[in-house]
Amino acid sequence: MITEQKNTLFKLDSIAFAYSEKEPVLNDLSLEIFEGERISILGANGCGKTTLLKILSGLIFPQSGEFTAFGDKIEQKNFSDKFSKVYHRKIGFIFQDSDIQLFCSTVYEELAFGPLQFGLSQELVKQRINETAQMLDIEHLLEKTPYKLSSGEKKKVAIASVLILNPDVLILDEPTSSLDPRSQSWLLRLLHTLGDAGKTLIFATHNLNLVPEVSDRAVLFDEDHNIAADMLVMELLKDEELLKRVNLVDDNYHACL
Amino acid sequence: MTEQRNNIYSDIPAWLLEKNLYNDMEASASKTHFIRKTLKHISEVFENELFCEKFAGKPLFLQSIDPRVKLLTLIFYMVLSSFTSNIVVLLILAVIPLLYAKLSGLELKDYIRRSWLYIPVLVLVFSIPGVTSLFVKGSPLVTVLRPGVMGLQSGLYFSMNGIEVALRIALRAGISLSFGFLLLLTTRWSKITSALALMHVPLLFISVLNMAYRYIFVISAMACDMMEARYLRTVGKLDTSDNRRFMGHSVAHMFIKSHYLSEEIYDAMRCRGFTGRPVSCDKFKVKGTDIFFIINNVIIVLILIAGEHLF
Amino acid sequence: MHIPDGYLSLQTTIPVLAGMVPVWAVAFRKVKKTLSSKRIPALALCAAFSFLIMMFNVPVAGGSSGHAVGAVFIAILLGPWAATISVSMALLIQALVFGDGGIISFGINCLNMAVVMPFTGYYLYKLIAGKSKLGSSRNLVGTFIGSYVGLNIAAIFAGFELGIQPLLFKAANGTPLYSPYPLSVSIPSMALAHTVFAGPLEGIVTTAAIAYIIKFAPQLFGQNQPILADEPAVLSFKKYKAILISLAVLVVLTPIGLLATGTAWGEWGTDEIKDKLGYIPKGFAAMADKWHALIPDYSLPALGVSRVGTTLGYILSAVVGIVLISGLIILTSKLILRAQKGNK
Repeated sequence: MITEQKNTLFKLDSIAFAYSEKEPVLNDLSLEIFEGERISILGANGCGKTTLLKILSGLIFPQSGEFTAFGDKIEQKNFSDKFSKVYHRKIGFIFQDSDIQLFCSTVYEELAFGPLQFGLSQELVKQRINETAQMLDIEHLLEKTPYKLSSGEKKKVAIASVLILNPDVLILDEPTSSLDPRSQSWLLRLLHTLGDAGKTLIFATHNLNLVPEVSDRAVLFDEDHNIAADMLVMELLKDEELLKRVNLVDDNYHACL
Repeated sequence: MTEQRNNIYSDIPAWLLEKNLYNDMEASASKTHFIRKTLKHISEVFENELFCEKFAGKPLFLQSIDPRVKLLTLIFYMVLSSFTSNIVVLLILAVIPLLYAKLSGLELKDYIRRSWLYIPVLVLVFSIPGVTSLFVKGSPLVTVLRPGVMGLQSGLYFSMNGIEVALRIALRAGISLSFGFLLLLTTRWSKITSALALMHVPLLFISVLNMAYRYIFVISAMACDMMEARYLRTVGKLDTSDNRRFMGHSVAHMFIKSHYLSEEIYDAMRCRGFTGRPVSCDKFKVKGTDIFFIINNVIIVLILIAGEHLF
Repeated sequence: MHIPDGYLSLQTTIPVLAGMVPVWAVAFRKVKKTLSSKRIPALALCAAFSFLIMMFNVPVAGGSSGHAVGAVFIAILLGPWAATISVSMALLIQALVFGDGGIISFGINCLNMAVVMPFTGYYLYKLIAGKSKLGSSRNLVGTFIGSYVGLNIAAIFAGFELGIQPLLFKAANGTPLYSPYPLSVSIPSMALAHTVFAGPLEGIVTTAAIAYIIKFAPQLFGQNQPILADEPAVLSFKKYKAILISLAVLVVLTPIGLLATGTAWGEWGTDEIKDKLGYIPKGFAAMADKWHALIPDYSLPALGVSRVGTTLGYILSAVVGIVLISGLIILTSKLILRAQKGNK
């Protein structure tokens, strides 16, 4: 294996975040994510995964510590509307609950929302919508109302609405939750393709089966919101003791690799 | 295997594992009537939407008219019905939407049920006491109480004038509803709001309106689950005040949930480049057929005005 | 309290609707200033939410059930301006989608339930609750009284609007053209229904809901922080100009309608115009003559001047009118469908 010179995309330096003073969600967290990486963020529910993803995507800002992304220091005060647009264009965030992400009246408008916000011309938007819909096989849904779709279709539309902006980084929160097996394997194939195309993929999940499928590196949170391990996925899955300690597996779990 | 099973169940109290049949569900039915009513209301929200979807997408008559033209035309008819007090003109105005509905492929039976069988009937009933001789004088047509009975000097009767007043109000209510439903059933909601946007209603207003419409369904589904859970759990009798408190708590609970939801949605919008300035993509062009439609409706209105002059 | 179309004259509904436009504009601006930056989805959700509150059936004493409006509830949580917007939107969707409350009388319904109710209720709540602690009994009493009185005042407004109709708008022979109930009936009956039934319901539901939120999600009360400074000013008078002007024209035109109490505008004979304006516009006189030539007054000559003939003439003219109109509609439909097929 040839070691490549990797560019750092995100650098978190002992950051902390709390929604209220009594309950810190992230505390003294340091982490580096490189370009083109496929990384899983693991941990039981409520360990701070989603908070971390929100910090990475510029939705919330750490209250202490330093956060650098794409070489820029990210702070609330310099996160102007203009900067925000540029930043969000580079990062696509796919929410766990598709209902949250789909807020337009039709699938077509849903796909058009992002490109129009970024000021693309009407023709280009139209062309992109058609191509994205074709790629994800959702052309027949374009005139439908998002809330009436099945959860698999909703996820597809949510992904399409993000991919249409061609982000460099894709952040997915529990991507396979509420998906039937067929949609799951469809999603995995898509993620493989995107990974091969050089996109940086960041997942948050507590579903261990998914991890080896989509990622090479795993960051593991324990129940006290600290990073318990940061290692290659293959190594992590062998360490059953560790997984038990962070409450990702129980005694009934049998690694099926 | 069996051993393991018992193991899992050991923490669960025995009564939870027993099967039982309740026969006293009947008792709760009357006391949870309001929940059933609420559920029915909410399910109507969904039914309505499905109904609209069924017709609004068809490539038929009204469906292919520019939504702006359609909106203005239909509202103009409503205004006209408010202006005129001529029963014959009102009757003709009541027939026009039926024709439009039929030609646009709507199911007439259902359309009439929706627009005429509930609110106009209610309006008529509520107007009846108001159009007796107590309020509207005229020559007696139907006498209820003879003069002198119950201390009423001139008695209680309905005059032709009075009946006309009641009919007029009910007809206007029904006409307005018919044209309103005509618009809704032949136009997708998103088209109606883009038409409003093109008529210079501020985009911010439109995007809030659109999102509100969409979130009605999300919250309705939430409320439905909540009500159903309550309905299924209610055994035996409950106090009216208890029920009221429950509805109050449901309202609060939904508020908390939807508030959280709104913050998440805002995040999702920001992720896709939203900074507070909504952008719309719909562009309509008024076609030749739309102009034809306008001209014909103007002629119809002129005929109605001539009729008004005649009768 | 949703007033359907038909009860109110255009001279009442249109000016109120026009008056609501600046109110909405101010409300949007105020809300942008006071609500947190998450306002757009928050407003939308509040609108959806108040729509749903009106769907909730709540048992009322005596076995029947009614629904609350929730305007004071939203006003206490997010401020009265936010309540104005969310309740207005809920009413708009109800009017358009369900026909609850008329489309022409949309402005009136908004005035009652989205302006009068949240503002009176909210300021009464503030007055009674003062600086008392959230969830204290004084605070909850303020909530109850605020929502109870808010709803009642809104109801009295509705009663007033209905009651002035027979005073202002009647035909020449005194027959009311719109709602027949005078003020002496409409106000007491609206007031009674709301003080006894709907009011207590609104009060209890609002108080229970507020108490629940104070207990389980108190953080929702502290969230009305000022928004970020770099907000684009989306709203300005310019944005509303087009609507304001068109509505202003309507407002200017309505007094003309008022002049015509007794006759609707279409009924104006040339004599009446002469009475009102002092002269007959030449063109109008010519037009009127032509109409008379086309369809002679009251009866077709062929049918004679007997009473039966007059009645028959009426019916015949109506039938001719309906046939003409139907023909036009069917023709339009055919042509439009053909044009559409041609496009494909």
